[in-house]
Amino acid sequence: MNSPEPSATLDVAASAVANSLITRTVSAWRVEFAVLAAVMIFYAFGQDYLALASTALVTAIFVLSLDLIVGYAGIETLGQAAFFGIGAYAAGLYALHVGTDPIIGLAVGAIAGALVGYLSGEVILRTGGLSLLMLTLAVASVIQEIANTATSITGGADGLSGYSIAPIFGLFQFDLAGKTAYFYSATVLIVGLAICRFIVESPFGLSLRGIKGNVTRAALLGIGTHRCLVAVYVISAALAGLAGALSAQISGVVGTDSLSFVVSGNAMVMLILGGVGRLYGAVIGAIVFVVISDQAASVDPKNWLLFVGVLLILAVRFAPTGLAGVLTALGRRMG
Amino acid sequence: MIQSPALQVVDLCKNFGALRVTQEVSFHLPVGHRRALIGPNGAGKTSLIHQITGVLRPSSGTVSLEGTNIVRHSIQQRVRQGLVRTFQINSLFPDLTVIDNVRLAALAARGLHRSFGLTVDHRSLIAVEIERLLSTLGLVELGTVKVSHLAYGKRRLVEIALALALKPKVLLLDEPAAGLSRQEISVLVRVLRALPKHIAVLIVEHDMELVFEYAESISVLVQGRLLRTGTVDEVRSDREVRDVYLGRRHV
Ligand SMILES: Nc1ncnc2c1ncn2[C@@H]1O[C@H](COP(=O)(O)OP(=O)(O)OP(=O)(O)O)[C@@H](O)[C@H]1O
Ligand SMILES: [Mg+2]
Repeated sequence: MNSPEPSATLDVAASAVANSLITRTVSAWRVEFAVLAAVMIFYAFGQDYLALASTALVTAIFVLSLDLIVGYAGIETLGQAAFFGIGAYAAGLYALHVGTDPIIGLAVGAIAGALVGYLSGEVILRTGGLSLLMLTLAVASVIQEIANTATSITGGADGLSGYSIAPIFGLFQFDLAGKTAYFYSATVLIVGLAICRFIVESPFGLSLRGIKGNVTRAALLGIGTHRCLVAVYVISAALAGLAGALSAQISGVVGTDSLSFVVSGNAMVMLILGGVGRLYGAVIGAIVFVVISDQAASVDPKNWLLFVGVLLILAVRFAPTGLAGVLTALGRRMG
Repeated sequence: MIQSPALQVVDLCKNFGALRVTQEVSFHLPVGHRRALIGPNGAGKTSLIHQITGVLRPSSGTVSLEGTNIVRHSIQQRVRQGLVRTFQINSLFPDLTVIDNVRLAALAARGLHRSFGLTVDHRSLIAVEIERLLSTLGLVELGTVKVSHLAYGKRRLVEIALALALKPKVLLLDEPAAGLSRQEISVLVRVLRALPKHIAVLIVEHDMELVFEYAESISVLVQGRLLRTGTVDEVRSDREVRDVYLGRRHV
């Protein structure tokens, strides 16, 4: 007997499997898809603002690196700019003296960040709380001071400039309109987001959340808490270094202000604004902050920081879980 | 050949300044033995557990696990060697779900807590383990609830689940029934009865009904000293024990 039903059933089953595979893939990668969609939509309508948008994307990567340690491992820091700045200088120096390939430049920035992250983290992560906060600040200040002093290498107050970056993969030339820079930053952000999500959803990520919630108990489970903290600190520093390298490549300049406390502090503000410990909160916070401070600065170039401060107070008062928290709550209410 | 006891404590002493919280305490737990440790408040029961598990360093004396002196081992080493405890005051991961609490312990017990991904085998092994522990403790329905949202009694049971996920050879329970309802205590007793035969248990408990029902033997600690160790009946009928402890609380 060769009735048509079984194969029809099989077809239905196969398409159901395919459907559910697609649904599952989309749902598993929904944050990355959402960012991709936003990037495409913005490109269609916001051509005049690509430079600002690229800044926002790079900043988002940097704030993402902060969320990894603050939101998932409970490492409070005010010195994250150290890794951003180190990455920027490393990539700038590499482009100036060694080679112009952008991807290698990114790797150089990430490695430089990771190295400094390891050397400082190994020491300062033995403390916690307020002393750790102060030590992160101290490390960043020392590094900024070194950059200011070592003028022959860093260019001092003038910074680094005058380097060129080769086309990405030898194909995509950096253009004046900033299209290449825009898609380059967007790609790095999406990949960075995927990597961070992979990390926080892994057993290692669970260990971090355990350490954040109850470090004594985590140690009593036999978890080497210091090693885990150093590991995530290094990963975070690498990502921050990568963001710095990206910034150096698309802006064409590196200055000592990239290492400054203001950069660290602002990133913390963005993270709180967007929502701590959910990754996409970092992206939302960075984008909202960059856009608002750009607007505020053009309206009132003198007092715009004050405006940002008020914004933060309002956010903490009315949306303690950040904008991402508000979005999640809205989504839940609408089913 | 004689099998080494699961746990052996010899001449343990600990002073907090002038307070002699542990005084020449010696005892051993044979493999699979179920011992209760009783004594008045402040007798030094928790301090003794702290010294056995490495939280407190004893002033002198030795602690051996399966014949190996572990006095110099770190807390983590002892846990990996199978010396596991629960806490008199709950100590869990409040922001994690019940499942994630147990998962973390199960991962740590297998040294998988630093991995970035699990093989299919490990993943199913861990899933089966979590499933098994939650169902023995009656926590299946609460699996996806954050621990900070759980009632006190349920948290005590999660505490036990965490300890069991660490695959203990010696299990030290510090007042596991404190604050539990009668019904939760009966779950606890059922779980303790169903423990694998090879696990040696030292249970510190003020609930004498539970102690008499569960323990094979009892040690009595008074002012840092072991007053008596014997079978349930011996200790129950001991005059001195009645005077210092039981008389005041139990017929
Ligand atoms: N770190 C410490 N420093 C000084 N004294 C301590 C310390 N820890 C405990 N003590 C004291 O040691 C004594 C024994 O305490 P421990 O907690 O071991 O008693 P316990 O038998 O567990 O009592 P309970 O039945 O109330 O739990 C108490 O008098 C306590 O105040
Ligand atoms: Mg006690």
